[in-house]
Amino acid sequence: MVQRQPERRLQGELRQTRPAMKSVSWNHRAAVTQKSIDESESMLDQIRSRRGRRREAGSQDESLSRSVQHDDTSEPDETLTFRPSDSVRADVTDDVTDAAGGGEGGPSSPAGRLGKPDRGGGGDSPRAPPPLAPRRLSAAGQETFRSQLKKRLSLAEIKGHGRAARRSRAQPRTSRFDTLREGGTSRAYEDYMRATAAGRTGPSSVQAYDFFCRIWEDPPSERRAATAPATPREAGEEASGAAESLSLSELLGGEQLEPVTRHVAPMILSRKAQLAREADIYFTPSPIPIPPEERLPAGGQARDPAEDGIYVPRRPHLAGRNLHKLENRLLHSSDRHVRQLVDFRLQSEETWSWFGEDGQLLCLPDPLLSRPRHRDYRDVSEDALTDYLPASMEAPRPADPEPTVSAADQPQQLQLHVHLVAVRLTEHPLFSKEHRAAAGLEQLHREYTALVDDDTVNRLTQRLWAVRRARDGVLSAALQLPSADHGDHSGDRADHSGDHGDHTGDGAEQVQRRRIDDYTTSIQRLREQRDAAAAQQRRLCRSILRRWRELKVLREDQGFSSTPLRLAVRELPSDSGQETELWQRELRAELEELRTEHDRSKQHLDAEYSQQLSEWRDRRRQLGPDSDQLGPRPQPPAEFDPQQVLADIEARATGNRRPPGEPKLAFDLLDTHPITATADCPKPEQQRRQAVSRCQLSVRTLIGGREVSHTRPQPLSQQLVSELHQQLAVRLRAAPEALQLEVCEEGTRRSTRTLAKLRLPSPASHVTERTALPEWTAFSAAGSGPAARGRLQAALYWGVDEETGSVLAPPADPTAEGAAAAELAAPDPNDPADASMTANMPDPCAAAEAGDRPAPLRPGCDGFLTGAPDPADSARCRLLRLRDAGVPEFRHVTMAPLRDQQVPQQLFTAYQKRLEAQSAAGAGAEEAGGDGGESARRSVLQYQLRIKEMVARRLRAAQKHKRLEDMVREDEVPDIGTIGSVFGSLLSVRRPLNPPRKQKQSRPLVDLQGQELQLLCHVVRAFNVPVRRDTDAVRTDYSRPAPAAQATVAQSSLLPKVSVRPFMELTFQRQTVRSNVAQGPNPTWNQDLKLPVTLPPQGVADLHSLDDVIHLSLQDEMLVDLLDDDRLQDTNVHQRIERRWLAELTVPFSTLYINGRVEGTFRLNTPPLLIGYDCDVTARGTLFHLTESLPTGQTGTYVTVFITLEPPVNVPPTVQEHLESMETEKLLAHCESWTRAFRRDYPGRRVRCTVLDVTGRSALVCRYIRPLRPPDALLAACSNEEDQALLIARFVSLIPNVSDVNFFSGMYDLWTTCQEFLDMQAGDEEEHAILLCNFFLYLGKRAYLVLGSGIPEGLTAYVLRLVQYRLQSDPVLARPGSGIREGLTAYVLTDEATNRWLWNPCTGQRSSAAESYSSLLSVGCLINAENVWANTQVYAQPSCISFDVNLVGDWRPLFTARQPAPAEMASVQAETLRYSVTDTVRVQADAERLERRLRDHLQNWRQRTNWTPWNRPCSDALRRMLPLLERSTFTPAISGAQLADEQTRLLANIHATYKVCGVPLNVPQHSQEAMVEALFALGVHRNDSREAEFALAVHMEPYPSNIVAVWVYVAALTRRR
Amino acid sequence: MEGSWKVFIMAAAAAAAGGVPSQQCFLLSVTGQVESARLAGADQLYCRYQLHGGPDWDIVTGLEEGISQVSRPSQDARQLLVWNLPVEVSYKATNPYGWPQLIVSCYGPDLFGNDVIRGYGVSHLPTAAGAHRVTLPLFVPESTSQLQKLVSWFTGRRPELADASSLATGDGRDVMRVRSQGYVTCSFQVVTKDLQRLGYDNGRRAPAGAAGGDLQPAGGGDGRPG
Repeated sequence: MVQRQPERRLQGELRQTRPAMKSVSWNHRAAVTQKSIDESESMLDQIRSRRGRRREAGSQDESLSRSVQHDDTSEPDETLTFRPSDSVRADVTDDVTDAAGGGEGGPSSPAGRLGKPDRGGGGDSPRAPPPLAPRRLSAAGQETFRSQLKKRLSLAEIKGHGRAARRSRAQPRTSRFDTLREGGTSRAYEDYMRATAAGRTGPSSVQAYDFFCRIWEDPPSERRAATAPATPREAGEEASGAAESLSLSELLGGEQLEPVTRHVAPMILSRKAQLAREADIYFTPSPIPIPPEERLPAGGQARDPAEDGIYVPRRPHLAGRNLHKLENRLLHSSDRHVRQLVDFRLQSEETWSWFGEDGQLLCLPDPLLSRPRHRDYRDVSEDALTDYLPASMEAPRPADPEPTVSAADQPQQLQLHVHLVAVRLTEHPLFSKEHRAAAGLEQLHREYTALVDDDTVNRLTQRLWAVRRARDGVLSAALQLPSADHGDHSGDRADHSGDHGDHTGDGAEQVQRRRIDDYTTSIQRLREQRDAAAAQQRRLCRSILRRWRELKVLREDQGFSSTPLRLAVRELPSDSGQETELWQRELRAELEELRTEHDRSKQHLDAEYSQQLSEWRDRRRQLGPDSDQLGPRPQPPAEFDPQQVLADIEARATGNRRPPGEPKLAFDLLDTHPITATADCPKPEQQRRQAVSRCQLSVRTLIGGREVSHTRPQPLSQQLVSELHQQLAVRLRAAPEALQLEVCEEGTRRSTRTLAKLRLPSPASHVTERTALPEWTAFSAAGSGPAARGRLQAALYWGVDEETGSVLAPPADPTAEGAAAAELAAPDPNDPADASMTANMPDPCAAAEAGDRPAPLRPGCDGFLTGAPDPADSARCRLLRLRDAGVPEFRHVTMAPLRDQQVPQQLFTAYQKRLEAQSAAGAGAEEAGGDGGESARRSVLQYQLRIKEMVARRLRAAQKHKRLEDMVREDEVPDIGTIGSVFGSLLSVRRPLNPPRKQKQSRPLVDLQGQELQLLCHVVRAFNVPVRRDTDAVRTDYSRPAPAAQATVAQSSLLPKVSVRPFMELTFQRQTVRSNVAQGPNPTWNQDLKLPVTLPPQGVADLHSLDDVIHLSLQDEMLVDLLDDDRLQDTNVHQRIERRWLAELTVPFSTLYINGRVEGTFRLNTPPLLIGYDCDVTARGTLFHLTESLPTGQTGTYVTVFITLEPPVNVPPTVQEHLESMETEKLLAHCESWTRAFRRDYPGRRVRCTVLDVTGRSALVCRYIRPLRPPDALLAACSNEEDQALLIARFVSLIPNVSDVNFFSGMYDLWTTCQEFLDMQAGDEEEHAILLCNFFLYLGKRAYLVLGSGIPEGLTAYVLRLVQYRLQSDPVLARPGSGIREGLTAYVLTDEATNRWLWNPCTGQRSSAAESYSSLLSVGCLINAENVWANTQVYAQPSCISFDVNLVGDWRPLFTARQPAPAEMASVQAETLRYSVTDTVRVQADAERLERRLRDHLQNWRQRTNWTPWNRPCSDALRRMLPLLERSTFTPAISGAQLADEQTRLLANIHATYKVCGVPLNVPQHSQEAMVEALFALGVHRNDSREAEFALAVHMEPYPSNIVAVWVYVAALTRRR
Repeated sequence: MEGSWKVFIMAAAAAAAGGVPSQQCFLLSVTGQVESARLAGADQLYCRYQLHGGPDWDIVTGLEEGISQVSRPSQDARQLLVWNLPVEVSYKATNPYGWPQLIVSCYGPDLFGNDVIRGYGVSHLPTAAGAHRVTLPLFVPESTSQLQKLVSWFTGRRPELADASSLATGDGRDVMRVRSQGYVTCSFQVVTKDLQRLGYDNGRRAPAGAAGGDLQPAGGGDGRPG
């Protein structure tokens, strides 16, 4: 620091003097008071005058400063003080030197002065008060000082200094100032003052001290002479300076002199002068590189330690320009200090310099890592970017969760590219002699070039010498070792890998010795290697020349040439003198080495020899001198013979290496030799060339034994090279170990012959297109074929994903990667940067190190501690998982509890129970329904559930795919038709009194979110309502109308005299709404009934799963007089309203949902018997006009309703999926085209050719039709064929009808086989119809399955005997296509001799095909086991069409002569149906259980009103009635009148005391829930009378296969008064 | 059988919804504004917001939906349509799955004065406590064909989503083609309670002194950039 000070200080001054003026001129003025302004103005004057003087002194100044600098190198601070000053300084130097002698021995030694650096000087802070006082002035000194200066300084100033001086701790120094000459002192002081006043350039305390206390040395005499002329001028200035100084103090007048306020003009120099000055001071290094000779010690030669196998750390990057500048500065700077440093270094230790052995600037290794250590997120997949932490409840998180890349989990996506460039043959039957020779020459040349390019010989030589040098270094160090206790630097540096010289004493000696041994061995080895390489090179050289000569001879002999090869031999220049020197040096070195080796081994050999000799002597002593076994006397080891050895070495060297003086040769193989034209060649050669031109080569690529590509055959050139240039990319799942390539020769006759096979290893995972290089791989023919050898040029690399930029390569194997990188970069085991690589190498040391490293994070390790419970076991997790899987029990769970304890266990128990039941059912099915008890019923349910789940799974997958219409609401583009209709409507006649119905646009389900879905039922009217037969009178005879009863009613004037007061009640989801009461048997309501639809928990999307039933019941409101006292009749009214259930219409919600609306006039489900009501229409004779159009013999009550949903919902369309089929493609295509053609011709007619079964496979409908034997019990029951048919129809109709939508919770239309249907005990119309049809076929009837549309049979899901009745007079129904959407339905047609019957399979009822009021509205097609016939008649109504399928014009068959049916059409149905035996005992038990349950429900419903007494006699009577009712359903012989009579007989006793109001219900056993709902809808429980008693009877009629007909008779009894 | 489990579910669901004790859920309270929109070519615009949470989320207070006034673009270069429609909602939840999302739909009259959809935007509510500004990019469904586009332009019935809340789920996104429209800026101030006590880490450390309840104050410095 001290040494740099002069320069810096000067800089500081130069910099600061210039701005000083400015600040004085305006800046300062603004800040200080008027006084200070005056002051500064006066100072300005002073400065101006001073500046003039300074200019004059400038030139002298420079020369002086230099001289001072040169002289006083030992005391730099002198220069420091005075050198930057102005002109006065020279004088000062002059003056003070007189007193120089005394300063040396004093306490203020140079060291002490040096220790106080000049901090305050140089104007570091302009505002800081300048260091003022000399500190070490004694009192005496002060006195002298005062006396000397009092004339010039104001008193105040002296005071100030005096104060400062008193503070100082200085020791007295006598007679300092006496020696100062007055003038010089005053000038120096003035100078000092001026500097002080400037406030910027004040001297430091050291300077100040020196100024006063220093004993200045005598300057040399010539210096004095040089400076002498300046003296007079200076003397002149002195006076004026003093005057200024005085006047200034007068001006200030005050006591204190504030130096801050004084300013000195800056030193202004012309630019030229400035530059000149700077050039003198500054050294500007040149950026031109220094030649290496300069950088090295004299005579040194640069050698690269890296080449010698010594670790060279990576140098930090430094721009070349800067580096050169630095080197230049170090070497050429005239700067004394730098120079000094360099010299010091150079002198102190010879071997040390700024530059290393390689001529490079020495530097520390680059501290920066070559690779950034942060994780590269480009390779990380998107989802891995978010830091996923597995949820943990109690367990703490791991301290530092490291995001892991789960590359292993993902299936690998690999893309291997193979670029086949060319095939070059080197041996082939088509080769001529010349070719062979040329190929040999080429081969030799290639080897030679490889050797030369590699420069193996030179490299090994260099290395050899390097090791030799290193050994010498160690040797010389070893010699010094006893005296020097420090390690040898050169040796250490040469062998960086070794220890760092920490050893002392014996340890160090051992190390040295070992090292020398190592070196010796490696020298020996290197020498051998070098000799071998050189010998090979020489041998190759000779071979090439020989081969070339042979080739030339061959060409001359045969008279033509067919290869263009030519060898050009060049002689390279060589310096024979240098070579000889090297040669000699090498020989000497080798000799020395051999000598050393010999010496070393000699000890050992000597010892061995002496031992052998002594042994030999012993033996001789024992055996005697002439014994045969004695053996020869051991020879003493040979002495080292330098001459002999040298001769050996020389001979060997001459054999191996090129001796000096021998020309140095280089070979170039050129393709310039002219090839003889084919025409000029002899015949065999011409043929050969032709054969070559015909030959083509191709390459087959095989991966894992499978051929992935076969390149196009490429012609072989005359040089036997085939340019392939074909690329191929293969996508792979796993990385192949190797790629097999087969080189094939394409013969003339399209025959391919495999020439050779070769294997290319899979490329390393980092090789991509950019880094891959085509490489030559040699191949040779294997096997018995003709010899063929050659080389294939190919490049293998991995593809790059264009989107992500990631390499589609297998994950790098760390060891393989290490090996690959090792090959690539030749890692240095000493380099710490390669530690990771070396760690992967099998190295015992590395293994030991590995123990310290932390174990890698397990890939599967999550945040849970081992002690913590497995998250999969937690109830909450299970709940969430099941919910996610869409398990019905959990699908709608919201607010899943956070803690396991709060998860309701009931949820799981229900689910568990279901699972258990399912598994039990699976096991039970194998027992084939052994006990037939409850388990049979349950197994049916389980079977249903299994099927349901299977289908639901498939459906859910299909529903995931949303369509655009589901997401986006968009108007359809109007086509010509709609535009036409729009214009047409504009032009049409306006008829305001005949408003047409506008179709409401239905909306997709999702749109209903947040809206309330309502069930809207518009009840228009009913007719033919049963009328009361038994009114309020006590009667004994119920059979005939009683005038007395009418009289009783008439008594009460309040009771209207009507036969019935009917109203409609809508019940849905246990909610009820009713219409007004109308009067009479033909009421008209015209009323809207609305009920909210409670959506399934999941919302509207789940609407299809709603299996509730809409009950629309017709009831009679009765007013019952409650007045006990007849006397009050005139004054009081006390009545109770009672209701009587008359009839019902049930519509499954699914029917409404699918069809959008249910509209029309329907026949209500009236019970076969209604106690107290008269259903007989004809008996009354007071019919509404509409009923007149009823066909004769038709009875029943009809209601006209319109049911819809508000707002209307869009029905999701049927899922149309092309699934696998059991039919052939051809057949399917035919079916499709046939169907399409028919639909195009007859839209609206239903036709099916193929249907899906439960497994999702499609099959031809004909396969479903097959005669099947009905249960034997049914066949045996009746002898009459007709009765049999009716019974069978009854049996089929008893199987519960469940729509596919409901059952499979989706829009699948699946057809189950009859066996499945029976097992599931559920199915829709098609299944019923198929079963019925199959039974009829068995019975020998001609039966067809009829597909068509009618009023949907879904209406009859629960009430069997409902028959839809189509009224001819109904305007809506009469007009085809008027808006009613007919449900698709299936009927069975039996074609008998007497009649054609259409059987409704769901009701079991038949009607004549000719009847005009069939509920089947249109017939689409007829199906039997052989064919499908589509209805091509003008009309579709069954009454209007001919059912003769042989009429070509009327029916279009699917299979014709041109398109015959498949030869064998195996039926999907089983040959015989399995019917399980129904356990009658169980049925009985079930009936009792059901009865109990219904009773319980009824009691529950009535709980809020009253208790419920049960009338057992009545129940018994009803129970006896039920079997008769069942029998009446399939026995036409039993008429309604008979039933009524029977009932009257049974209930006679009860009627005597009670008014009985009851209804028999018949429900196919679907579920008890449905039964309960139906009972609720009856509303019998709503009897509020206290005296009401109830009767309930359940009868179950068992049918085979666990089919049961359930009858429930419920009645309310009121005691007569 | 079927009915029985249905009843069970209803009961369980009702119990779960009503009876979650306060210790067993965490709370998320968000107050904020749908501040403004930048939408080129919109002369008048109003917006609707709706919040959509998962099955385990329940609104304690606040409105799930809201509709703003009609706004006109500001008379400067920014052309901002400012609504400052407040959004204030508090959720309680037992599961971060289904973290609530804000769906903004903007409507405005077209050339013929028909109210048409101008853009949908969706964003999760911020998960970390503090003040946040979120910019939602807006988009509208594209017409399926050029003819459709022309017709819808004429009739003023542009294609719109059948249900905007379907944006909150990923379903059906693949079938939609949408066009970018502009941006809506929303600001949120989020307070969470009990998240950390229940073991969820939303990127905020509980203050050292706060034991048990970790009511996290709004206005923290770590607001996510919008």
